[in-house]
Amino acid sequence: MNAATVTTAATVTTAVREVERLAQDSLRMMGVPFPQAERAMHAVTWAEAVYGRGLQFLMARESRLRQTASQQPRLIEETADSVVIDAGGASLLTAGPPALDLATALARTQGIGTARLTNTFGLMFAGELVAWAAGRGLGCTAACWSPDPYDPFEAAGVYAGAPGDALRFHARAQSGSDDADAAMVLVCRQRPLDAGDTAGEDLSAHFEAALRHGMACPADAFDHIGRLALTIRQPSSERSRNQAG
Amino acid sequence: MTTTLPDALMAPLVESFGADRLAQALAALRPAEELLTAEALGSVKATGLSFARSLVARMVRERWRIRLREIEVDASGVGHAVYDIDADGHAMTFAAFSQNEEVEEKEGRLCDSYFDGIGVLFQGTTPMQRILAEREQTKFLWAGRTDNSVLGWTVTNRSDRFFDAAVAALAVGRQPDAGQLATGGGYILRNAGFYGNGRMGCAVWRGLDKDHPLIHPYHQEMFGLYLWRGFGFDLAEAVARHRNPNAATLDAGLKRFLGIGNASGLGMVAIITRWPLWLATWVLVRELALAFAVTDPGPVPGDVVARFRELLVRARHYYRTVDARPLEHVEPRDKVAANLDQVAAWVDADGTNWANVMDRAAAEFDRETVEQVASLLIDCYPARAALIDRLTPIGMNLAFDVMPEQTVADLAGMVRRRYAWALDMDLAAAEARRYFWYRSEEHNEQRRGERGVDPGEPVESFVDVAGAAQALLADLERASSDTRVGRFLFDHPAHRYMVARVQSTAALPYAEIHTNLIDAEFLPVRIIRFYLTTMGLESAAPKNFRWVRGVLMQGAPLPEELEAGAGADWTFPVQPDSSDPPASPRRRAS
Repeated sequence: MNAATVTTAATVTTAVREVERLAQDSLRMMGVPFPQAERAMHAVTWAEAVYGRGLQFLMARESRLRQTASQQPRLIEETADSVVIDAGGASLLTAGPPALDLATALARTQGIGTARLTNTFGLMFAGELVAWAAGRGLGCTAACWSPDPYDPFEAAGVYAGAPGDALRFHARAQSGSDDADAAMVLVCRQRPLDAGDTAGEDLSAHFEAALRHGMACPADAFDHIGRLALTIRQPSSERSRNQAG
Repeated sequence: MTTTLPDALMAPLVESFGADRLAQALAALRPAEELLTAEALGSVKATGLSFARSLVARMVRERWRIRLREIEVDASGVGHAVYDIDADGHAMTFAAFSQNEEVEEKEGRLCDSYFDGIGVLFQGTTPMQRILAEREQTKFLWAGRTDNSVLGWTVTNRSDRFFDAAVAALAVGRQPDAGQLATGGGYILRNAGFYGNGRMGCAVWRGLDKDHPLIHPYHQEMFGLYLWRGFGFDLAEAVARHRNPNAATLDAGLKRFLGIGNASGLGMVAIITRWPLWLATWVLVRELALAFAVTDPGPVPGDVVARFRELLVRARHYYRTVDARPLEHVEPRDKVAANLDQVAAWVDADGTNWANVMDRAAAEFDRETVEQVASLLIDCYPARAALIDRLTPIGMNLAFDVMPEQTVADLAGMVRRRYAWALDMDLAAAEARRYFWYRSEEHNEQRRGERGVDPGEPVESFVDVAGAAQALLADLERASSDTRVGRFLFDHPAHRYMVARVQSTAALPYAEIHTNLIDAEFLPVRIIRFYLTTMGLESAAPKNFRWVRGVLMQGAPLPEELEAGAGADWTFPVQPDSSDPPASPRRRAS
């Protein structure tokens, strides 16, 4: 690639680690605490690699992310092998990891664990949860329902993945949800996926390609989130300049 | 103390050494309580496992070829140089763009808008047209963009005093005064950083091929230093030729003695704290190498004894001659040298039971001497160290995640066992939480601020491990003991990172610095020294409690030696004589 083509009016060539840094710092500046931002950066980067929309999501949904940055999900229902969680309007970036943790704990102790997450947004990050579960040695599906199938960040359908298998996405309308907002049903299990879950578009190669070759990111999102991330830098007092650091 | 390690680390060790021999070594690992205080870490010395050393060993072993393709600079040194690199069949290109502006203060910080040199390390053999296009982007400094054909950008500054002195001497046909250059430690260019791993859009380390010559951690950064060192020599000679076409060229012995200057500060503390798997791995490989040495069965082979004696001679000479400036926060170098004399006497008188040598050193000497003896012992077994070094990339990249199925009772037990050092601290005491780390607007890097004074507290960087451990245990003790960690974290999301930290390092003996890093009494210089030593710095010279200076790559073989597969044994170089033709670093006083 020629340096002259690195940056165009529309896109910026970026890299996995660069997006991770930008995502973590910008999320912190939106009010997301460090422990959640530290985990969420992986989902943003995954979405950038697979869809080219990770940073764009942060820009487009910034005000909603700010409003729900410290929103704590609520456990609505709990059974021997399932939980229902109200995300309280928080995105999958912050509400997804606790849902996966609960489903993982159930799967590892009961063989299967289901977490139903309602009142959330940013369904495209569900794929990263599935990839993460596979990294934990679990088979996992995430069925996503969206009230707005045309929203590029809210892809309705099923993500499926397992250790050693491809991560797949099957775009199909979900029935049986009457949620007004996006919802996700995450199922983790200690056994291979069902045959029906192994169909769909293979997303696995996207992240590997991004690692090896970089990514073309929308320039406006890259610039906006880059500027926001830089605000994590703080002024120094004269006292600390001379004494502390 | 330790009987096992994570499977990913055990497997290569068992393969290399066998289960029984490994068990012996694991049982001999020194306790974390002894090694992980800031003071103890600050006393650690470089070994063949240090990143600069392991890179040079690879370059020599594989006979890397680094050749100057062209250099075009004017009389003030402004211009460029291009180097073609053949690293065991992998082509790379280094382009160095040289400037020379009058700048009042050249600190070499990330926030600076000017550097004397900006370098680009390309993958593959890169044509001039591409290099010049990259040059345009480097003019924007950190706002510039590149792509994955580039491994990183690196910056340097000249030491005006030493660089100018070297040029002046060459221009009149003489060698520079080695004694004068040694007053600064021995360098003419200073490192100002290597910015890779995705920055500006460049290649990501995890995306490199497994057989990439710079796949080992920190080898890209160390290679950048090596390249700047060579460029410094070529630049000085080229500028001297502008003044006098018959100018002298630098003697090889002097070039070998010169390294690349380095100064590092507070940011190192934040880096080491942020990535516990790195610290855990760096200390583990060193301690494993030492543990194997002190548990070797049978008499020590004669060539190993001879090697230890030789290294003792070289080390004590180095301590007595390098950088005579009086320094704070380090043991007097003469004292360490005298202690090494005594170690030599023990070996002569009492033989070479390495365990006894280490025990006796620990009983009689300061920490720095003990760690220097440990480093010399490790360096007596380079082949074994190389086998252990295979763990470095594996350990640094172990999974960092929570185990949500664990019970609160088990996690609490883990915290009590592993973080006793933190739980015992009185963090409510005055001054115990005086400082915090933050990203500085002014310096664009990590700085330390004072709570209640500096404004960055709400977005402070994670450094307060002791506070996080105490807070986690307090909440765990309030939760039901059979609750799963996933459920606990659902109610306490603020502990997610600390829980991942505790669980991910549970099987690693050396994961945390056992010191309150935000206490008023904490001296950052100790951790900065540890970081630089891990990189390969032989002689650290603290400038104050928050800055450490030193010279890297001092004594390293020159490119022509790499090609010949020579110069692998390069530590503790001897300063060439100023008045005579410079002596070979390998010709040593005893």
